[in-house]
Amino acid sequence: MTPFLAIVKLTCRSAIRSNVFRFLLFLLIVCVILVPNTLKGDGTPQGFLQVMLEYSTAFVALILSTSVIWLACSEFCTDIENGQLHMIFVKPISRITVWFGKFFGVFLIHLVLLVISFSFIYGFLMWQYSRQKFSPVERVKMENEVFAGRRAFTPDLGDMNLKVNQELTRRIETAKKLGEALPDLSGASRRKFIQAIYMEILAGMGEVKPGEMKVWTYSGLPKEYSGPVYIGYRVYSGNLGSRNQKIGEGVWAIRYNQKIYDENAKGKDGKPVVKDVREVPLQLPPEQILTSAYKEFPVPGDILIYNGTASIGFANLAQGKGGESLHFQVTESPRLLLKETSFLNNYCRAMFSVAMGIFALGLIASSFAAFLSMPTAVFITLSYVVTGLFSSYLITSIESAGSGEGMAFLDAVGSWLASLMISLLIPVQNFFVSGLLSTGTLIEFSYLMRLLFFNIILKGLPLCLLGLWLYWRRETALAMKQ
Amino acid sequence: MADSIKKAPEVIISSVGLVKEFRDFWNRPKAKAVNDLDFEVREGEVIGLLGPNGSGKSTTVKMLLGLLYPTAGRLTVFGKSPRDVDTKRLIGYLPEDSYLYKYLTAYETLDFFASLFNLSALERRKRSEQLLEMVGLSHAKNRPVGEFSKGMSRRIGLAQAMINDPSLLILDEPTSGLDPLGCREVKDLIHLLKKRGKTVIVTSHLLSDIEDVCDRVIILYGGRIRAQGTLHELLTIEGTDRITTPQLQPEVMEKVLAILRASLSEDQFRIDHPRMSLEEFFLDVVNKAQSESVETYGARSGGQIADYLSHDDQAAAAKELLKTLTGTADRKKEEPAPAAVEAAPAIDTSKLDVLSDETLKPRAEELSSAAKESEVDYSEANEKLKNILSGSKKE
Repeated sequence: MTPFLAIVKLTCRSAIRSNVFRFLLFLLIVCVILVPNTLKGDGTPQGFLQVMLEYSTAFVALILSTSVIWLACSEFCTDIENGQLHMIFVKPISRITVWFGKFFGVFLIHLVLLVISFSFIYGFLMWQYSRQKFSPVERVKMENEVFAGRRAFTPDLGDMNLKVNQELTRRIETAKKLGEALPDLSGASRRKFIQAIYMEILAGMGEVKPGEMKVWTYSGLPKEYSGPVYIGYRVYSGNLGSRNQKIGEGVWAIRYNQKIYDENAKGKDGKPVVKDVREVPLQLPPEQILTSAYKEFPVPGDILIYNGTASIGFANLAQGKGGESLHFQVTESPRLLLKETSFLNNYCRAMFSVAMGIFALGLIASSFAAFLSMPTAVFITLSYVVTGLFSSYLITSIESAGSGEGMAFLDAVGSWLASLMISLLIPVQNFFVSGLLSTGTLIEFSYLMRLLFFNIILKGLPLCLLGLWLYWRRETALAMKQ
Repeated sequence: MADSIKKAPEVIISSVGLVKEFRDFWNRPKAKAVNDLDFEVREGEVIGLLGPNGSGKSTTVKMLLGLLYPTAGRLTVFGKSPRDVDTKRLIGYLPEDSYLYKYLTAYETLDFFASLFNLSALERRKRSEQLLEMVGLSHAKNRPVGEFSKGMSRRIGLAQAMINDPSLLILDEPTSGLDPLGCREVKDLIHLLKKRGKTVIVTSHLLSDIEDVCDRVIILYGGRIRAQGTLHELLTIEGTDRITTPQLQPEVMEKVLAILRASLSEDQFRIDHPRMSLEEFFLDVVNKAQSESVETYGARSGGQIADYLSHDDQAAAAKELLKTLTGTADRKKEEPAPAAVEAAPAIDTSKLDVLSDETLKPRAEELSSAAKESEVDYSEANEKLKNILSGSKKE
């Protein structure tokens, strides 16, 4: 253990003396101190805190990510190139221990910086929250919307494959009845046609036409929940994804399952026995809605939730010629947000997630630096990260693109390549959860474990083993600068 | 008699048909740095690797250390692959350049390298302090090695190579960058290591260094061994004699010349005055300056050999050595010393004092058969040291 700790200590000391690291450390301090003090937010108190939280943590994660890549590559490569590592390799310490010592040293110093930075941000946030003159209503709102760890539930979509197949069959039959040309259902055209139907169904589930009401149901909720449930939504005017900001008018309704108790009977625990349940729609006051903007409002959980399910509806009050449909992206909203854990707990989960991200980046960089020169290792590591990032976007965009004549082959190749890349590479962006944290969304433990297992263990470990093997095999004297 | 029944020293390094070929990115042969090298190094030998630049010395040393891998042939160190981690516990290495961490202080550097040998904190501190004292850098122990002169860097490099009290010491250009005083100390150290039965491999361009310290040399050229053997075998000029005497009276000289002229022609012999070497003269001057306590900020003359480097000497052998040395001193009075040797610099005998330290008990586990064999070799070592101290060292 003494040799391992000596390498760890040496790596930390070396890091502190690296000019690039010092510069990044300076940036980190600037970011931690200046960013919260210069951001203004959207003018609302919770907006201010949300922006401060999101930007500060995101900047810290970004700087530490850059730093860990640089430092890992530097620690491995420069030591070999300058011959210093030869002095270590001729001592009775295995190269595997040296690799882990260096990697752990690099990770440790970043972990310490991460904990210090996040602690400072948390302290500053709490200080701001306590010193600002917020009204009691604002405080309650902030405690529910920002300083919380809320689990999000999106509308049940049902069996989408079944719905798509039913719609496809219906369209074919309709075309046959009307004697119209049947759609081209061969190869890539079929995939595209089915994709278009899928998107149409999704859009249909989220579209609320003028004067109509749409109802969404939710399942998997807790059996009993007495706290406030926040309904969060973003509505678009005209078409889905429109950035036009307009004022729409609508009204929300919730399903309330009224329990009717049997007055003559009592349960084993002495509680009254439910004789019947009557479904009662409760309508909230009509309101004006700013489109493309995210909004939330609370409803009592014990009213909304019944037997682990809930149902809410929205009516578009626009009428007449100028009335436009309002659209919800049902894969995201309207969503139900239930407070699951404290803000501190959620904050620690976010910190753990970022730490895993830094660990993953360090692992990638150390693995490449084990057998490559410094610039090549940095380049390959950055390429790895960017490829992982764009592969996700490529898959999403190809899947969401419904048109584009002549692009089918390229789409197929792109999609295949992106899928391959995603199955091999660690999508590092998934570790950085500042957005979730700032909106008070619960960072699920299962999500963290999935990141750990699928990304770090399944994808990171083989890369690490490859790096270790090459490091162990390497004729280090050949890499030394003469 | 004892020598005749003594087992041959154990083979420390064995190289059979060793080849190292460098290849380019496309795996095409680029250069054959080492070509079919066969040699053995035995326990207790001080061996010199000689050769011009590009002859394969450094490549061979790097292969011995497991930093390069042979393309063909077999190379073993202590009977194992040079890449074997445990073998490296027995090896000390001083590279040609100082590949040290510039931001670490001299003390931290030694402490770090000692940590790699899994030594306890107490042992690390003890050894580091002793080595710093030994290489004359105690006064600079808290200075970063990046600020050191080349000579000081070599000294700290030498100290780190000794941190594990190695059985095999590989010194690449050990005197490079050192002043003559430092060179002499390194040479003295090599002599002492040999005396303790350690194996030393020295590569150097300074042939005088090799000549001074090595028992045997291997001369490489173009990756092949061109000559190898003991210095005596290689350097003795057959059919020539040399007689050295104190300055003779003119009449005695005339008699000698007459005898010589009777048997030899004028061009077959010559008579001149022996000169001390520049190194010896320089050391004499510096020793005088040191005795006058002149201040210097650079490396100082090394102190006593680190305790842990001498503690496995058998106390008896140490006593024997001292007795021998005392006996030498007596004989010195009786026999007139040659003029050239009278001017030789005084060896720091304090380095030998440690050998008589009664508190230094040998470690039971280190009394291996190999150590016992090397005990026999002490007589030879003692003889050599005796010669140095009595001034009969060969020029």
